[in-house]
Amino acid sequence: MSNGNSGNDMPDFSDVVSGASSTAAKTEATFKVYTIVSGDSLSKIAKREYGNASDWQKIFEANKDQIKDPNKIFPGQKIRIPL
Amino acid sequence: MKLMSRLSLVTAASIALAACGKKEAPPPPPPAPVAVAPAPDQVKVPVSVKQVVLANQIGVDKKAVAPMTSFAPADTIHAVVETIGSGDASVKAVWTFHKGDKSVQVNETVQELKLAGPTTSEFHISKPGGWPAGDYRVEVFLNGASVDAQKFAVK
Repeated sequence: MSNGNSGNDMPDFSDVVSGASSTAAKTEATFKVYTIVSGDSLSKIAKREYGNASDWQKIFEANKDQIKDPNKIFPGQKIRIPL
Repeated sequence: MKLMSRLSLVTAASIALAACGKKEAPPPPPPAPVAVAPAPDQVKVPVSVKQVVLANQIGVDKKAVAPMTSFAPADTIHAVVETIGSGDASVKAVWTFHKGDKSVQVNETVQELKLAGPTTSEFHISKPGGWPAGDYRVEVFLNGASVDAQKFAVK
């Protein structure tokens, strides 16, 4: 199974907007899982997801366990995008 | 009289010696602890998914207004996940599009929750340009394990 835009005859779902909510006693975190593709940067992702490139720090903070340097992300890497 | 005194002395000494050597009976053992069953409202039921339904509208209680499996291109599609039990839960919805034997991931969203009883959680997706017609599927995971999957179509 491919992820996002498959690049073949499959539709492009990269513009899908998602969200979630709950009646839970407490919500610790809600996030979208995104797979990095070639040419991505945290600021590009922030621009696309939040409409503001400077929100890249929000994504960086949510992924500090796997991103040590915000300028070093890799295609195929799965990151959390806080919703 | 002298003999009587001696006899009394010997008897007293014997009693005293016997008393010194006598060991006290050990105290009775403490009663065995009694297992107390927790009150019914304190029993921790592990989290499990009761049901997953799809809808294009939810109420303020997060529940589906009208469950459905066929949607219009402009719909926001909700997956409503009802759980029971309490504790930490990671609930994930993975949405996919299927065409023939191919599939592509549409979205993957996770909620990390602290549950304290029956809970309704919802995941939703929308597409600004409208959903391509076809077959879709949403698979729900609880703490990493697949627990339910629902197929739906966009027409």
